Amino acid sequence: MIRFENVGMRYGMGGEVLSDVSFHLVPGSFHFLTGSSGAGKSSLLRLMFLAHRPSRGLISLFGQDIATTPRDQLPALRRRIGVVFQDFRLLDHLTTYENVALPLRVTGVREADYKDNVMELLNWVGLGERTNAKPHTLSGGEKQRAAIARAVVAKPDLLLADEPTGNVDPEMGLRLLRLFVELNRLGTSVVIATHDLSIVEHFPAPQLRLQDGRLKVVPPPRRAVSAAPVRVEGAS
Amino acid sequence: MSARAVARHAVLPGRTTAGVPLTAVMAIMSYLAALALAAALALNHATEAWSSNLAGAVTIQIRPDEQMSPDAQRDGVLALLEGRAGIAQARALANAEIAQLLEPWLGKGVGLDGLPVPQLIDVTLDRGAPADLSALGEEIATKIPGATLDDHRSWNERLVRFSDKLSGIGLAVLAVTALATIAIVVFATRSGLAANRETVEVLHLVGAQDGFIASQFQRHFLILALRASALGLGAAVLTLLVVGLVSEKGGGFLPDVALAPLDPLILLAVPVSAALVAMATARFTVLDVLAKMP
Repeated sequence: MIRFENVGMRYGMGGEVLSDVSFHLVPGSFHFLTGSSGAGKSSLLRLMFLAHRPSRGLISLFGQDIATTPRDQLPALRRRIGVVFQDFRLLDHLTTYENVALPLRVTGVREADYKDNVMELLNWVGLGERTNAKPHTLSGGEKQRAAIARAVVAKPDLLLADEPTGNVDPEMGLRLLRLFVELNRLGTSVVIATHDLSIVEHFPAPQLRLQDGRLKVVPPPRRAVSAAPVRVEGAS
Repeated sequence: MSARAVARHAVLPGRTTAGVPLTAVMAIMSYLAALALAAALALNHATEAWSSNLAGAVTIQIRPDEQMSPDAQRDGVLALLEGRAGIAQARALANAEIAQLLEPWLGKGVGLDGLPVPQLIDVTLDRGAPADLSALGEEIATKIPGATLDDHRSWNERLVRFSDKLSGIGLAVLAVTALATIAIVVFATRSGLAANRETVEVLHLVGAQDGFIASQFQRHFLILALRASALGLGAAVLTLLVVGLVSEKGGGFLPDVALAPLDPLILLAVPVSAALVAMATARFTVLDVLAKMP
């Protein structure tokens, strides 16, 4: 599904924030992306959701080398990826319903064809009564759930979440994690970037651990509270 | 509450760019463009009318001459013209008519007695088969001392050249206005993109094609340009109406400079063109910026 081979990344003329990153995620896998603040988690996610180009190395996404994929075919790849941004990135002028429906709207799907699905999803994440609310009226947890709903509404093959539990209390964090696990059970590959090791300890998923811009794959901890389906093929 | 949820907001915020100042600038551009186009059209009509009038008429000017009395000169010319093929009518202008023609230069109430003012014979040609003017001119000059035929060709050519230049200036103003509008829309679109960078980036990352994002901007600028240029055209039409009401009718030798009945329809091209130019400019600007994104 995703293959990185000796990928390096730098911003502008600065030094490399990621060096020689190599791994391979298979479909249906579940990973945590861990590392201290500034280790390069967000940069790696940006490469994975095609918001940035690597300085070197090979990135293959859904079997396509992104370096040789024509630019007009990249949106089709992005539509297979759901992203939960650390700062949510909900559009302030749109309602919760419109924000969640955005990935479907931009593909030209008629509202009549997606409205019921969006409403069902909003109810599922507990925002059924907040459909017409604008983001600035939502609490941090509600924004988080709206962002997650937007990320999954198009039933992506890959879900990337950047610190999805960073703005909610621990109980809500665990609920959201269970939501990701549920999605993973339904076949979506999941990568969750977090520096919250207490969350990681609750789920037996392997880690993509970043340190000083370099990545290694760490197997799941032996003592896990719950079981999550994990299929992983990786190499540091 | 949830049952009422519908996608009623545009993907881009309504106030994508500095709406009011931009509307004002585009309205002014359209106002100038409409006035320039109206001036070019009116001048064109006036020139055509003038040329047409002059083509059907000649003037014979009779300067005082020692060899013949003024009356004999005038009667001689009229006799030459009477019944001649290609001449529909020949009429000597009365002193009062000549005085009226000279009024712009000499002022009102100036007597012509004692002034060496030439006599004028106004000749209307048979438009179907006009007389041979060069032969007629030679014959008149030979037989009637002091008489010359003026077919207005020189005047007409100078008038057409002058009118063409004015029309060219009008079209140049139109072109400059269009270029300025394009520059303004490019600037406004880039400002809009910068102001909505977050929105554009989110759209980009959720899989929107560049064309979809560009279409959001082009629709915004299409509507804005249509509104602004309609305002500008309205103001221009009002200006033309006021100018038409307060201006003195030309009368006499010069035709009126005025729009033809169908010209307002041509002026409608101003808002339509402005909207299309703004829309296309916005689209290409956005696509150019998006092409630089990953």
